[in-house]
Amino acid sequence: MELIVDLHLHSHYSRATSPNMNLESIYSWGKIKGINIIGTGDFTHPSWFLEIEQKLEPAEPGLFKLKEKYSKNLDKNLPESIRNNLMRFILTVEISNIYKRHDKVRRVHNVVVVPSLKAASFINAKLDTIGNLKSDGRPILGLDSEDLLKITLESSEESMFIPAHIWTPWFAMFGSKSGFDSVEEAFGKNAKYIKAVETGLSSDPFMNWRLSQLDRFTLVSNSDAHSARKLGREASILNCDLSYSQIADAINTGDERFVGTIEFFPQEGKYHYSGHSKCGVVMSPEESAEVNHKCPKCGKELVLGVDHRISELADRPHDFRPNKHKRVDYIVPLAEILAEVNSVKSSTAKTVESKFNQLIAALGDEFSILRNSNIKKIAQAGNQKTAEAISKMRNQDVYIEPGYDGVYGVVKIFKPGQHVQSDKQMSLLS
Amino acid sequence: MNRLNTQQRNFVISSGNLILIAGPGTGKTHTLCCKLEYLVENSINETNILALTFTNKAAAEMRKRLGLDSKLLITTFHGLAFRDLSDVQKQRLVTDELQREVFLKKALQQTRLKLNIKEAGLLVSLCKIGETNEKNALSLAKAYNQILKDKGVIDYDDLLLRFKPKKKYEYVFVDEFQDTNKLQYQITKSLVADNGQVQVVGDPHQSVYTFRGASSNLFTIFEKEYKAKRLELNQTYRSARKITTFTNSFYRDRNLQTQLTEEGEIEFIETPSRYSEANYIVEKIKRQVGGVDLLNASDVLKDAQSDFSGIAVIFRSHFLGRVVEQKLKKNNIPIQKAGGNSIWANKAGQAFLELARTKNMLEKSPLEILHELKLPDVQTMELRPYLFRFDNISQFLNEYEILKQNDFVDPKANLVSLLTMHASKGLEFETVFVVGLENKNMPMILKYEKETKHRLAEEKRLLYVATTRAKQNLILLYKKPKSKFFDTLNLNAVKKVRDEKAFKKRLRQSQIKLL
Repeated sequence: MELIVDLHLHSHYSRATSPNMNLESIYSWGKIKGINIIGTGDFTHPSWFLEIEQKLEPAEPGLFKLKEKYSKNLDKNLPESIRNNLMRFILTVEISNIYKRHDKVRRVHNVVVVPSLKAASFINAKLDTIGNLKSDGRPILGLDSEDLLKITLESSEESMFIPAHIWTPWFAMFGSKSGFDSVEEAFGKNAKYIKAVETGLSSDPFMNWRLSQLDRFTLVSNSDAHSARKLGREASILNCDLSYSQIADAINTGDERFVGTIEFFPQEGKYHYSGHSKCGVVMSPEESAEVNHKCPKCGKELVLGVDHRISELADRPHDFRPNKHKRVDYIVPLAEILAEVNSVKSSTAKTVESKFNQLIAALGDEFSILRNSNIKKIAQAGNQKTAEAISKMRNQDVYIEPGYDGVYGVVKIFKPGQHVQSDKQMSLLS
Repeated sequence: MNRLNTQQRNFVISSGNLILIAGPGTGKTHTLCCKLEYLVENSINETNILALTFTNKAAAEMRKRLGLDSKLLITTFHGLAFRDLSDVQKQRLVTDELQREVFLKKALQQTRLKLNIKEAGLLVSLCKIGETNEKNALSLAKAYNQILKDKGVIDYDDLLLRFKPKKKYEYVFVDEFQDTNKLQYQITKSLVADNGQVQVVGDPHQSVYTFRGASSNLFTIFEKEYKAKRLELNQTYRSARKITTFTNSFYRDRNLQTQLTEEGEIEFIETPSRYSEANYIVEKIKRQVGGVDLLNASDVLKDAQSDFSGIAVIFRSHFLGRVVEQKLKKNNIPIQKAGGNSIWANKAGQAFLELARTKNMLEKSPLEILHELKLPDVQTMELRPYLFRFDNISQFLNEYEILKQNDFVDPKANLVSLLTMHASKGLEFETVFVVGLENKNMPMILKYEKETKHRLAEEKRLLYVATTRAKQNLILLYKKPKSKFFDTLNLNAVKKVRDEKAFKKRLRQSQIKLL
C-alpha cells in the first residue's frame, strides 16, 4: 500500500512551535493532509513522552495509534471524505548536536526514529546524563553526532538515524557554517550505519544527486513542521506493508518500496541562494563568486546558500539527471494556491479556509488533491482557476524567487503582474 | 624528556629534598609524571616510590599517564591509610556523606549549637586534627566522637589520625602541597625512609583551603626542616598574553612567561544586576559556539571558537551562580554542576530509590514501583522514560551505581561548567566568566568573620585561581562598586565595558514604574 510518511516534526514542547502541536491536532491534520505515518517528534521530552504513553497505543508492530477515546471525537469533526484515512504514529525525535570535531565547532541536527517506547526510553536515559532534556523538545546536546549514532544503534537494531536537513548552513551535516564535507568526516567509521539523509526544504533530490558520495543513501523528505498546518509540506512516499520494520527496511534499502518524495520547490527554502537579509541582497552562486562572497552593500560576508554549498561539494554538473531515479513530486501547499487564486494575501485567511475545507470535503485529503485528483473534478468541486493552478503546479510551470539568508523564497503559480485569468476566459479556452 | 623545558628537566634530574613552585599552566602534572618515569628508568624500584595527590581524580589521571602496568603507588593520603585497614575495619569506615550528616545533626542537637551541617562538619574536623580548640568546637567534637564510638564506626579524620605507616619509601612526592594540613605533613614525614628524599610540588598562591586547616607556610617549615632546595617553573602554557600579564600582577613574586603567541582578551564588565550579568553571559556563550538555534544563528561570530566544554562560569559562592544557571537552562544551553544534574536528587527520585532498595523488590518492574509511590504524574514524569526500559529493579540498580560513580554525567558530555572558585582549581577553559566581582562579594567576608589580613589573602588567592583558569578569554563581571582587589591589579590590557544595553533597559523599567 502507498504510505505517505513524515518523520520529522515538533511538539508544542519545542521552541518556537505552535501550541496546537499536540497529538490530537497532529492526528486531525495528518488526516487532512493525507499523511499516513507521522512522527511523534520530541520523544526525549519527559512531558511529551508521558503524553505519548497516555494517548497512544500500540497498533501494527512498532507503530502507534491515537486511543479511540480521543480519536472518536476528532473523527466526528472531520469530513467523511477523509474520516477513514489511515493515520499511525512512529516514535521520533530531532537532536541538536553542538560539539567540536577535528578542532572546529560543529552544529548538526539529527533525526532519530525508534521502534518502541523501550528503545526511546533507553535513549532518553543516556541523553539525560549528557544534557537537559526538559527545556526543549528538540534538545541541544554537547554530544558528537557519532556518539549519538552509537547510542541510537545500541537502543535497538531497528532504530534509524537520519542526519536532518543536511544542507542548512547553520545546523547540518553539510552546512557551510556548521558541518562537514563528507559523511565519513562527520561520522568516521560509523558512517556505514547511516542509510538515509534528509534533503530538507532547501534542496531537492536532483541537487543531491550531483554528489556521487550520496549515491548510496536514500534521500528522505520530511516537513520539520512547527505548526499543524505545515505538516507534510515535504514527505516521503513508500509502498510497503504497515509495520515499523517494513518502513525502516524501505528507507534503509531504498529499494522499490521507497517510491520517492514530495518536495517543496527548493528555491522556496530559506537558504537556497546566497545573500544578506539585512541588506536585502540575493545572489546566485555565480553572482556571489563575482563579489567574493561579500555583501556589496555592507561588506559583510554573505550567508552562502545551499545552492552554493552543493556546487562546492558536487562532483557532477548543475544539470545532471540520473538515468533512472525515484519519483519527485513538487507541490505548493493547497492553502497557498487558494490564496493566490483568490488574490488573498494570507494563506490562513477565512476565504482560503472555507475553500480549502470545501475541496477537502469533496475530494479527500490535500495530497490526493495536489497529486492525484482529476483536474476536471477539481474544477467541479472548486473552480477553473484552482484547477488550472494545480495543473500548472503538477507541470512545474511556476514563478520562482529564490529564498536566501533566512528569508523564504517566493513560489507563485502565476507570475506576479500576469493577471490571473478569470473563470470566463478559462471556460472559453477549454 | 624531550618534551620538557629547561626548568622542567632540571626538576626531573635533580635529587635531594626539593620544593617545586609550579604556577598555573606550567605543566606540573606532566613534569611530575616525567620525574616518576625518569626514576624508574634509572633503576629505582617502583615499590620504593610514593606519590601523594590531593584528589582521587588527580591520582587517576597520573596513573593513566604512566600506563596500566606501572606498579608505582599514586594515591591520596586517605587512599594510603585505607589500604592498611583490614576488611572489618574498612566496613566500619563511614564513607557516606549523608550518614556523617546524620551523626552531625545528632551532635548538634545534643550540644544545642546553632550551626549548619557544613559548618559543624568543618569545625569537628578542625578540632580533630588539632587546628582549633575553641570551646564550642571542642564540645561538638566530643559529642560527635561519642556517637561514632557508640556506633562502632570511624570517619575519614579518624582514618588519618590512626594511620601508622607500615612501609617507608625512598622517594616521597606530595602534589598540591599548599593544600596539605599539619596532620598530613606529619604523616608525610613518617613515610620517608632514613635516606629517603621528599619532593613537594605546589603553588603557595593557589592555597585556598586554609579554612580546612591547610597551611601555606608549610613550604617554609618544610624548607627549614629538610633543608630543601627551591626550584620553580615559570613558563606557562595555558593563558594568552594579556591574561598572563593581568594575573602576574596579583603577586610581586609571580612572573610567569607565557609560551602562547595569542594576545587573548580580558573584558571587565559593569552590569546593573545578577540578571543582566546572566544575560550577558548567555549572549556571549551563544556567540562563542556560533548560535544554538536558528533565531540567533545569523548574528553570530564568523568562526565559532568554542564548544560548550571550553566554557566555564566561576563564582565565589553558589548563590552568585544561581541566576546564571537558570538563564542558561532557559536558553537550552547544556550545563554541568557537580552532582547537580541528577533526576534522582529530587523528591520523587529519592522516594523511588528508597522503595527500590527495600527487600523483595528486586524482581519487580520499576514502573510498578513508581506506581506504588502514588505520587502525581508531574513529579514522576522525569523518571518514567528512564525506567521504562528495565524489566526489573536489580537491572536498574546496577545501572544506577554506574551513573552515580560518574556523578550522573556522561564523561563524553560536552557541557558548560558552573563552578565555585574552589572547585575550579586544576581546570582550564578557553573562555572563563567570573561573576559577582563586586566588592561586597569579593572578598567574601561573612558576617561573623573579621576582615583579617589572613582572610583577605585567602580571598585574593581564590580570585587568582579563578582568573588563571582562562586560556583565551577572561570575562570578569561586577555590579558597582568593583572589588577592591582590582585597585592594585594591572588593568592596562583589560577592556572595560559598561553594559549600556542593560543599564538603559533598567532605566526604562524604573521610568515605567514611576509612571
